[in-house]
Amino acid sequence: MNALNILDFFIPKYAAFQSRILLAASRSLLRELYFLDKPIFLSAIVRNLDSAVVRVSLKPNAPSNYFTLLTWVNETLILACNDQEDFTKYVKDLIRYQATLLQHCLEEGRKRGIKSAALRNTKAATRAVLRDTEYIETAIQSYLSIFLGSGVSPFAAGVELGILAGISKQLVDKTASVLIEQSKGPIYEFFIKDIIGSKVRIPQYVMVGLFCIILIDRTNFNGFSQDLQLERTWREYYSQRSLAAFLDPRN
Amino acid sequence: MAEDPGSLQQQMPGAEDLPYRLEIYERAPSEHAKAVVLNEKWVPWIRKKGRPPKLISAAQGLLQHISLLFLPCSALDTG
Repeated sequence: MNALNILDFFIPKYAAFQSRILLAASRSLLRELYFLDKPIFLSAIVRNLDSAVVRVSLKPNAPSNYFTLLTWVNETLILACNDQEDFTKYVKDLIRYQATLLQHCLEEGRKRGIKSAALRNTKAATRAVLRDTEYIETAIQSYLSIFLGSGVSPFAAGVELGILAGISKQLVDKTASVLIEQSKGPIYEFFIKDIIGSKVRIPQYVMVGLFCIILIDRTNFNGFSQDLQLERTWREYYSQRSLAAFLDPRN
Repeated sequence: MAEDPGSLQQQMPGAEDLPYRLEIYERAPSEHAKAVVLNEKWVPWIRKKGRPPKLISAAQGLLQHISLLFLPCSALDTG
């Protein structure tokens, strides 16, 4: 009996896990497999999840497929927290999958239930990761390097950064909050450059992230809102008027 | 004469094998039935596999006690 064979059998069948009861049973199964053989479990599940995420990203899938995979990614992320070496090895891949799948779950036209369940599940996983003070620095660095880098799409990163900032603010232990505060400059820069400065329409769900980011530090809210306002005014002005009107000295 | 399916399952050779369990899962008619199979057949089975057999764990416990008996006195001397 090998965890590898079981995972190779179950993970590609993500489309069959439609009901809440079956999804809960699959999570129990993952936990048992992890404690049976940790190294084999983690390498096998990350490999299987990787191919599944690639498959569901190629063409539109049923929302429940994204949600099932997101639940498994979050469960694996929590399990990987049990060991620092495992966590360091797999955290970046898992966070990337999490952001991609969460974005698919929050897309416009999805049912409210699946959106809120996806957000709730991801927030619970992020809280579980950040609560572990031993790897908190590694975790925050991994999150920021992926979201502020080019690891995921800016809209996915926007939501995840919002969740990260919101949860770090809520935790009793302020280590995460302090680490986020230290990276506030690059976070603001990301939001102004990649979200406000985006050439495509910003999906409504990204504002969740923006709202949470603002919550980081209320005292600095004015400075940030002024930056946003300036950018927005300039973009609206530029997009609503023709170039000729823009260049006309009378305007 | 038809045999009782329950007794057939118990007598089936290699009933503990993975393919057999995968088949039980595959044959479950609904999602609810599949969840029951996972919770009642798979999870306890994997949990049991993860634990060392009783005899081995008892022997390990005994060895630990014996090794404590033969510890050098300096190791026990806390003063």
